[in-house]
Amino acid sequence: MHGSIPASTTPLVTFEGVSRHFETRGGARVAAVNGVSFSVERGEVFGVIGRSGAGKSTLLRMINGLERPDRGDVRVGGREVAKLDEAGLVALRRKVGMIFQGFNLLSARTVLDNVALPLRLAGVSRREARARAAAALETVGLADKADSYPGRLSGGQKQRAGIARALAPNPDLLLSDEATSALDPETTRSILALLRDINRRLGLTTVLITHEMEVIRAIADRVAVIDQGRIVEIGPVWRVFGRPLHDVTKALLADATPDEAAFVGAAAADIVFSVAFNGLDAREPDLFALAQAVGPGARLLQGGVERLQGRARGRLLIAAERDALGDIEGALSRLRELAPEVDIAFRGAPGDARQPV
Amino acid sequence: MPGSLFDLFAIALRETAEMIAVSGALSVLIGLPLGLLLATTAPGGVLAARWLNLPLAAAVNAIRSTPFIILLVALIPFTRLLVGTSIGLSAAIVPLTISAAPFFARLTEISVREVPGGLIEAARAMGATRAQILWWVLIPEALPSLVAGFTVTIVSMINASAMAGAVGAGGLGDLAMRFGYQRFDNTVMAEVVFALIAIVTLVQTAGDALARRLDRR
Repeated sequence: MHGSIPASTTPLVTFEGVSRHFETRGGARVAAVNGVSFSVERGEVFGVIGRSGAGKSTLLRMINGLERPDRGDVRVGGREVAKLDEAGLVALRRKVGMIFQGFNLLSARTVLDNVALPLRLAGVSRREARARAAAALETVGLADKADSYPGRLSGGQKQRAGIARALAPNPDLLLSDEATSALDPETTRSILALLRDINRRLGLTTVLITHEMEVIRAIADRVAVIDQGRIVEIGPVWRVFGRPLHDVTKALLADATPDEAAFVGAAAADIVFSVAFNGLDAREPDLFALAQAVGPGARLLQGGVERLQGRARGRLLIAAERDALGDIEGALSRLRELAPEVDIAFRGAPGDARQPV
Repeated sequence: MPGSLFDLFAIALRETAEMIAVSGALSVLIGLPLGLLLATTAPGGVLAARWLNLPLAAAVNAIRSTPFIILLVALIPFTRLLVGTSIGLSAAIVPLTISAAPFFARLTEISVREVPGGLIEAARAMGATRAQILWWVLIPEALPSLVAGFTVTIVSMINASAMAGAVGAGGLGDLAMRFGYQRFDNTVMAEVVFALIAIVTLVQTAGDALARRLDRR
């Protein structure tokens, strides 16, 4: 078939020495993507993380030809995207679904007709397109909203509709452009779970870009860290964030919420205590006592304390290896003697159940 | 002679209605594609073509800056060429259309430009051709705003049609001029003006209601 991406064991997407420049208003040439090479294996979830303006978006759009490289090769299913004519590009895009931060649903069409749209554009009859759209809505758990207009949906429901629309034509590849960045944390988790589930069940290769650690942590198999158009680190998530080598990777970790940072520092088998001082009593963060409360091997993962009229306010994240710790409850109660707010921020798996993340 | 004045009023109303209906329909036929072209051939549009956009925009501006009464007279030779006469109802329809079409084209352009770029990108990403983007995305998404623009066009057309009396097309405006203004009959003038206010209110209300119904945002 003209449109489908040939099945094989070679990588589905490859970038080789890809660059893309833009002219700024002042006339200067700025590299959005600069000499990037990587490949995406079939069936994996490949994450690209970076700050805004790092070039992620341009990189993603080169996969379905919305942007063209000025140098280098982008191949999908072995075919070079830049060499496709208009018809070839249309055929490729019909096999590559895309979801967006802003959902991009048509306001004048019902959810069902939005999901049916890519099929209608491909010449599928209205009847069949609607039947397949209904099935896609079933997959994402939004069948009951088929006849609603997008304006009536919550953000999470809109993104589910967007995902259904991307899935309706049975794509070989899914591109996700900051798909959860406009959603609240709880909705983000449910959308990420859905994406992970779709990847597992359909074996759908997924490339996603994000600036959020949580997204990478929740669903990516491998990750590339991008900064100023260059990939600065790439590899399995546990390795890249378990032992970040590049400053940007470290900075992304530092920006992450404490729980996310705890996860990373605590790669697999740690337990992480959150010890917070709120200034309501005069207790001091006594480091020796805190370490003793946790026991040998207690490590400070992250911490910051400021002074308000002499009183300590802030939070320390203290990790210990779960197996070495033994009595978690005991450690917890000892810590509660020393600080007003103590909790478990992260509970790693026992050593024998250790898995790559 | 209230009877004959009433008759005159009824005739004038029908003349105005005919002028507006025909010119309005023609303005959509010409203005909509023109507006779509203006919006999509602009830099960054889906049909980006500067060589087409610049002359189109210039022509539209030229017509829009010419006062209608001047356009009406200046177009007489063209009107005669097109409909065979330079007086009467069909002669008024030509300048009315030529004046209103670029106006509606500009409003169409604004409506189409306001369709969020993300929708166009999404359509491209799903493999839509340019024509499909126009038909499936730009027109339906701009529709509520297009209806609002058409309503404004009709209202300004009703206004301009008052001058169509100058080429003997009749209509309410002409009635007000000849019987009210020139004969100093303030009653007739007031009646016609009130009739025009009622018509415009009706058109605007209907247009607003339709636009609101179409808007699902």
